[in-house]
Amino acid sequence: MISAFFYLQATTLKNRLVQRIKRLKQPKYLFGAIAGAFYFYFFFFRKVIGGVFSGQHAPAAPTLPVELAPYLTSFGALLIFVVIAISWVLPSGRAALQFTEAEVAFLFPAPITRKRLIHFKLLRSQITILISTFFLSLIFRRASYLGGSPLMHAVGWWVILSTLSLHFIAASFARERLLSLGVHTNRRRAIALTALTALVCGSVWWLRSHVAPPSTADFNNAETLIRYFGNVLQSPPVGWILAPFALIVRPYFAGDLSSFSLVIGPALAVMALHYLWVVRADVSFEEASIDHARKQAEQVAAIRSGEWPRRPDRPGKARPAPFALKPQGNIPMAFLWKNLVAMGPFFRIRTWLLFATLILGFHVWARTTHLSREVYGAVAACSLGFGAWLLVVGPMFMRQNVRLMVTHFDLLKSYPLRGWQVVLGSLTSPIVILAAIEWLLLMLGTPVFGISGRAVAIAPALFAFGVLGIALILPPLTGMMLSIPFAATLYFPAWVENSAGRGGGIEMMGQRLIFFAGYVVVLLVALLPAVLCGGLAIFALAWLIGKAAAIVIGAIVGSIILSAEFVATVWWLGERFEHFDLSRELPR
Amino acid sequence: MIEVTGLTKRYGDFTAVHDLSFNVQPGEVMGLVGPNGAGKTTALRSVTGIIPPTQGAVHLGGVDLFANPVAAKRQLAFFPDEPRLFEYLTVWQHLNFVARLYGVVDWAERAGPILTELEMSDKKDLLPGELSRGMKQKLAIACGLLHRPKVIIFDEPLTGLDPGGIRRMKDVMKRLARDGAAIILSSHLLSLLEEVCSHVLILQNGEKKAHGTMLDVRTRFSNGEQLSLEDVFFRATGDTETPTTPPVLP
Repeated sequence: MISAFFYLQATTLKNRLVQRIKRLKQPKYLFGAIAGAFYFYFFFFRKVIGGVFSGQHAPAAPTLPVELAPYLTSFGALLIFVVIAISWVLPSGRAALQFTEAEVAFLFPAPITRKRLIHFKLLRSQITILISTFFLSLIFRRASYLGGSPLMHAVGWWVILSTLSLHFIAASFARERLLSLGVHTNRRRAIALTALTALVCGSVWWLRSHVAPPSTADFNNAETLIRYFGNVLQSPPVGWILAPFALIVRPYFAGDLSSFSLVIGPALAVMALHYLWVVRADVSFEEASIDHARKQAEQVAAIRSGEWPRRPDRPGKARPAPFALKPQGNIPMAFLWKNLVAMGPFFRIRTWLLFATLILGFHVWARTTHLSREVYGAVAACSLGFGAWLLVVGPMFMRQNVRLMVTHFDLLKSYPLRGWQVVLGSLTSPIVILAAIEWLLLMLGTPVFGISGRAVAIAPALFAFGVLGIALILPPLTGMMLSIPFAATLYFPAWVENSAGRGGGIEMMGQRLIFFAGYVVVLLVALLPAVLCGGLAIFALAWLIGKAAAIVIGAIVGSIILSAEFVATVWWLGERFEHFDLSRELPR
Repeated sequence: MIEVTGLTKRYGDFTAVHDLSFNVQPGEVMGLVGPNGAGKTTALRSVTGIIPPTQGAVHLGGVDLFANPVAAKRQLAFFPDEPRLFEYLTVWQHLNFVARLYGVVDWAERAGPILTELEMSDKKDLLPGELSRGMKQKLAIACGLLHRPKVIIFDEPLTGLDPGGIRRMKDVMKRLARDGAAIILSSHLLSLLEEVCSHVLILQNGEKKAHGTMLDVRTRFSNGEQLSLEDVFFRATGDTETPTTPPVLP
């Protein structure tokens, strides 16, 4: 059985590598692989490789005092405790070991004992754990504040991940056993939560009478904070509760070989106990595993076909239409109507008006109650920051919808519509939704500056006109940004379809990097005429009609240019859509 | 060869299969038929040892499946409705892997003729992604036959096959029965069962409604007239056998 496992893994790995290497003959994979390799080199391996070739080691990370190790261990133990507690409270599914459908088909009816099936699963999970250990060791290399060798840290990570993995399986077996004894999910959750609450309340009650509250000095810096809270976590009874969990994390925090050799034994013993717990549990996991494998296979198939996230299988409730759709009229409005119905009652004009009213109410309340400037400023920073993030990243989310659209190209092409109508129809809904959210965030964020005194040297009227100008530019700008992934789909369909998750690997990651770089470049080129003309308008008119009016006119000019670019883009993409040959571009 | 006694599978208060007993002797092909949700898949999974039953016993080739699962499963081949293959194993490597699972020492000598018979000799080095649906099904069959099973279970074996594939699959089943295998064939295609099976078992709501040779079962539900298996099925399950009037489209 073990030899069959190694044969399967080794052959799979070899064939996968061969397939990957073979497909590098295609430029899209080759360039993707180059970009991905560059990314990994730059962020992970540059210093390691550079140090090897130059004979110099990478500069050591700043080292914390070694006395902090026990405190950090306590924090680590607390984290493990929380993760394990969650594994007893939250899950509601039945005990399932993760097998693929092929493994279920070949292994479950094969002459193999259940214990060997568990070993198969444990061995396979080790592959994932070892890969995770490798990357976590690389990522946290610079965070090895307490010294120690990279190998010790890697072993520390391996112990943590392996023990947690074993515990999750054991916990799922125990939950299954409880279920068979009549302890259903809610009852089990109630018992676990009661026990946890009792532990936490008892600990807090004890600590309040035995540990002094933090003083101002404890908040001086990170080190004093670590010392105070580390002491709290080490005080009984918290220290006793966390002791078994601390055993698991101690190897990771070991600062030198001698301390590592002292703590690795107990950690391995905890891991071995978990292993015995798993292999000796006599619990039926087969049915849930088969069900899990089926769902996984469906998920993979859905991702590959561009239909992820999948809609739930169960039928939902009929959703009211956002407005009455007449049998004749504007085609893109029909697309908008269809998409708004699908998105549910949240995306309705009355909902947006309600939000706008709430935001206005918030500003009135904030000004009348003299909400502190810090809080008000934080609200502004968060809303504007989120708005900016959404403006840049929102269209990237659209890529998934565009992939889905690719799968419906045949249907879309069968409609009696011009290409530009299909393109505009597909883009209208995301433009409306993104622009509406951005307007609301602008509304939430910008009035704050009127009272916080942060709008330095800008008169309120000028500021208001500036905001109005931004609001005017947002819809056509969003439209232009959304049309970029659409254009990528129409002109590079194989790239877009390919990045839907077939295979993964650094070449796919590289493709995403290339796409993002292309997205930024195209966006900058599209923005350039609008920024130049709008800026020139403001510069030329400011002395004539005043800054405020000039800003509005500049924004209008920029908005008109962006709108013109968007109209041209939609027409151009529509032409491309009409001449798009499905059989040639997306052979299946 | 296949002896199932008092097989019961419960999920909490729900009984998926209730006290199911039957035998399939070498050379017999037993059709397992029932409406959706009748418990066919649960019964098949229990008989193959994929899931443990709540009660009952299953003997494959005289070996108790639950007392000695490894020895019992050595005689078994199970073909699910969809060929589920390893994405990165070639045709030949699939056979190699299965040989290891079942301990078939002379697998290479056996695999060659099987692939030849299934017209797959030139596909040895291809991955499943490079095979058609029918070829994948053939590969699953090749894997299942490599260890020369005496007990064979097919679950909807014709799903997704073209006419050529269907004919080939029927021929394979008939040949295996002639060679002495005990076969269970689960399918909604009653015409397939009529053509291939010597026996039939009708299952409804987890309970056996009829079981016996095709002739016995037909005779039991007949009032003297000639019945098809479809007629028998509807009479046994109490389902409507009169199709409703098709809707008139505008």
